[in-house]
Parts: sequence; structure tokens; C-alpha cells
Amino acid sequence: MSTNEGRNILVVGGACGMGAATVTALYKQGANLVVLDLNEEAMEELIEDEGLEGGPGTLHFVPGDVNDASVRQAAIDYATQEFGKLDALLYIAGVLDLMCPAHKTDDELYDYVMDVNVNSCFRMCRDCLPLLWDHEGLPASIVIVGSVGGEIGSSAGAAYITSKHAVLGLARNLAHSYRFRNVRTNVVNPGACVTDILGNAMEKWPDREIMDEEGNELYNVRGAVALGLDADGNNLTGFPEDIANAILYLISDEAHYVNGAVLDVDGGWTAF
Amino acid sequence: MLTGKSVVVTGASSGMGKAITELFVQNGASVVAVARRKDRLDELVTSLEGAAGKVLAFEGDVSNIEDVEGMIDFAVSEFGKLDVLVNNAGVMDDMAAIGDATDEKYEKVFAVNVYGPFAAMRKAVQVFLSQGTGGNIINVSSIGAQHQAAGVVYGASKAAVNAMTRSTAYMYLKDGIRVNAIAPGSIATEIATSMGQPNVEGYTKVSPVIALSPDPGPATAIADAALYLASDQSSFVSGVILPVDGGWTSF
Repeated sequence: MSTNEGRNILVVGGACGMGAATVTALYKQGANLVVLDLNEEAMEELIEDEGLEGGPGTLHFVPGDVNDASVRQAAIDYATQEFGKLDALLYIAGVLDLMCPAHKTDDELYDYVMDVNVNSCFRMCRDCLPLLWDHEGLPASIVIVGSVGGEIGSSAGAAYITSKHAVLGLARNLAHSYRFRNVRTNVVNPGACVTDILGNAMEKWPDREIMDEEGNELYNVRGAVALGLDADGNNLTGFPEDIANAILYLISDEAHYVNGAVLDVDGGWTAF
Repeated sequence: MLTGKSVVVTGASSGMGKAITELFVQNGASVVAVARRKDRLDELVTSLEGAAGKVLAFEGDVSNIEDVEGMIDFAVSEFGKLDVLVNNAGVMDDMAAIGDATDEKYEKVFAVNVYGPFAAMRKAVQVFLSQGTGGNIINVSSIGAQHQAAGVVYGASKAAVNAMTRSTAYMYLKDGIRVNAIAPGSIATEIATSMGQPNVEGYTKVSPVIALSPDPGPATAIADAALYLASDQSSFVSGVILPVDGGWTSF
């Protein structure tokens, strides 16, 4: 597969989980990265643990909330000034709801999930397009990390499922709209994956039940979770590297003809 | 809603086909009810005496080309035209995964579930084109085309039905021929009797998906969907695969 050496890539959500695995792989291939993430501590740890200093890549960290326009602009400004163009935009940031069905989802929870998973994703894609379009040679590339919850109804709560369905629409429209401007857009839909997304949700909403009891009931007993089991009866769970590998494929030269694709990386879970 | 419409319904002796025939006749349609079991068709005809529409029994097997063409010719000769074809006849497989699936089952299921609708649609389209007034085809598919509710052969056969539905809808768009499918979930019918001895391993594999189904719906729920698709209320609807599964596959 083609290398990312010398490529300029903006990563939203790159300090933990799938984002961290992606950033690590790209850095080690020699990519020039701008990484936006809320979690400063995790970013520092990642840089230390994975030795993301002194090359072959470069990494500029923009700490802050992706929902904050000035934070997004700071990342875009850096890319504009230092690189002039982007080869790829990776939107990996995402938050989980508390598995609540709609009648248990208040505006605060709904808005937060939609802001991180959809609204900021839309704005980031829109505002990075001038750095991506009319790319020289093979197309520039946007990858949005969705979820199998973008295609099924029962793997999380109402807000999360809504948000992940929404980004599929965004990705397909971007894929269509900018195919003649030399920008590709694709989606990776992870299944169950070992990340902090649930822990983060618990931390964000400490005054609520970890998972809404009724939502949890729907989710576990009547939903898709019961269907993705391995030979030992355990849930089919992937690792952040599995998602990073899919992202690396989608931004590679070999994937230059892949546009508007939705790549499930779920161990076969949603084949039910 | 269907007054004056000439309709052919296959698999009409029981379950969904019987419910469709009953509802269509009550709504004024003239129906040719097709099935292999003539005695049960005769009972159906008797039970519908005095209804708004008409019903005639036609004994036939949809895997037999002569019967398929015969049923449509019969509708045209008796009612003067054909307006709606409902391809409802279907059989189950034995739930086997591909490692255990037999050629015998494959050929039987594809003969009824795929060749039957294929041959009937071909004949119906030819009639529709010669009539020059459009036409309407409703195929009874299954959520099994997409989800693992039965074996590999059944799923493949229903996926083929969906593909034929959408192809035909597209190909004859400009001719005013509408083609849609209904994808039932779990419906209380006799189709399980066509399963024979189920393959235990395959059944065990798909049982977690089946376990997510709500209680089986009545055959009349499929008839209600078919009435909508057959009527002018759906005049702008074509190429649709309409799930009628109580929300089962929203998982």
C-alpha cells in the first residue's frame, strides 16, 4: 500500500482509541499531522508512549473542543499556513449517548451528541474543502468514522443512532458533490471496538445512570448486540488498529477509485 | 378500491395469498386465484360468494411454465384484460447453511420462488405492453433477502425476487408498469410446512435473529400492504421493497 510519507493530514479526534491508533500509524509513516483533540493529557501520553517525537512524521497538536469554532479554525489555520494544502481530513472524534431511547433523551444530551458527531463534522468538512479540492495527482480524501449504528437501529441510543445515520448522508453528498474537484469521501463504520467512548460518556454525564435502564434493556435483549457473538459466545470486538487500518486503506493511492463507500469493520457482526 | 381490476394471485389457497385474494375480492377486484390445491381454492371461491368482486379458481404450479402462462391467459380470457399480478407463491428452504445445502432444495426453492415470478412477470409484462395501459406487479419477497431468518437458499431466492422487482420497475418505468415487493417478516402462515425436516445446525445459527422477531403478524397485514400497492393510492410508487415485519428488522 502507498505510504503517507510527506502527506499533510488533519485529524479530528486523534488522542485516544481509533484516532490514536491512526495518528500513530501515520506519524510512523512520516506524515505531517495536525491533530485536534479535547484530551490534552491523553495526547501527551500518546506522544510519549508511542515516541511521536523527532520524526519521521511531524505532529502539531491543537487542544480544544471541536464544537468550538475558534478551535477548529486554529487547526485549519495551522494547516493553511504550514502546508497550504491538505491530502486528507480524518474525522474520528465521536461521542456515545447513554443508550437512551428517544423519550429519555433530553435536549442537552441530544445536542451534545449531534454537535460532536454531526454538526462539527459537517463544519470541519466544509471548512477544509478549500484545502482539499483540486488536489494534484490522485484525489485528496476525507474519511469520516461512522458506526454500524449508522445502518442499524439498535446498537446505541436514539441520539447516537441518529447522528451516525446523518454522517452517512453527509459523506455520500460530499462524495457526489466533489468527485470532479478531486476529493473523495468515504466512511468507516466500526462495530464494537475497544475504546474509551463508553467511559467518556459515563464521565461526561456523572449524574445520570451509566446506561439508561430501559435503553439498556432494549439494547441488550431486543437488539443487535445479541447477534454479534464469536465461537465462545463473547461479543465480537475489534481494536483501534483495525479501524486505523481501514482508514489507511481508504486514504491510500490504491483506494483512489473508492468514493462514497461505507466500509463496515465489525467482524461480520451486522451480517445478521 | 379495486373495482373492475383484473388480478392474478398465486399461492392463493392459504396464508397470505388467500388473505390477499379475499381482501381484493371484497374491494371489487376480479381475481384469478392460483394454487396447486384445487379443493382449497374451491372452498375459497365458495366463501367469497356474494362479495363485491369475482374470483375464479385456477389449478396450477408456478414452477410450470404452461401453468404460469395459462393463468394469465385465463385472466385475460375471463376478465378481458390483466391489471395486477401478485406473485405470492413461495416455499421455505430447510434453514441449511451452504455447507449443508442440497442441490435438490436449491432447485425446488428457486423453481417456485424465482422462476415462478420470473415467468409470470415476463408474461404479464407482455400482456401489459400489448394492452398499452400500464400495469402493476406485486412480488411477495421476504426480509430474509437481507437478514438471516432462514437458510442460504431461501435468502438467495428472495434476494433474486428483490433484484427482479427493481430491474423490472426500472425497465418499464416509461410504460407505466409499476413493480413493487412486500417483504414480510414473521407471518402466521403454513409456509413452514414446506420446510420439511429442518437442518438443525442452520436453524440454531439463525435462531438468535428469529428470537428478535415480534409475535407473528396476521396474513391480513400483508394483504393490506398489497391492497395499497395494487390500488391507485400508490400510483407514484414503484421499485419499492416494503417491509411488513412489525419492526423486526429495525434492530
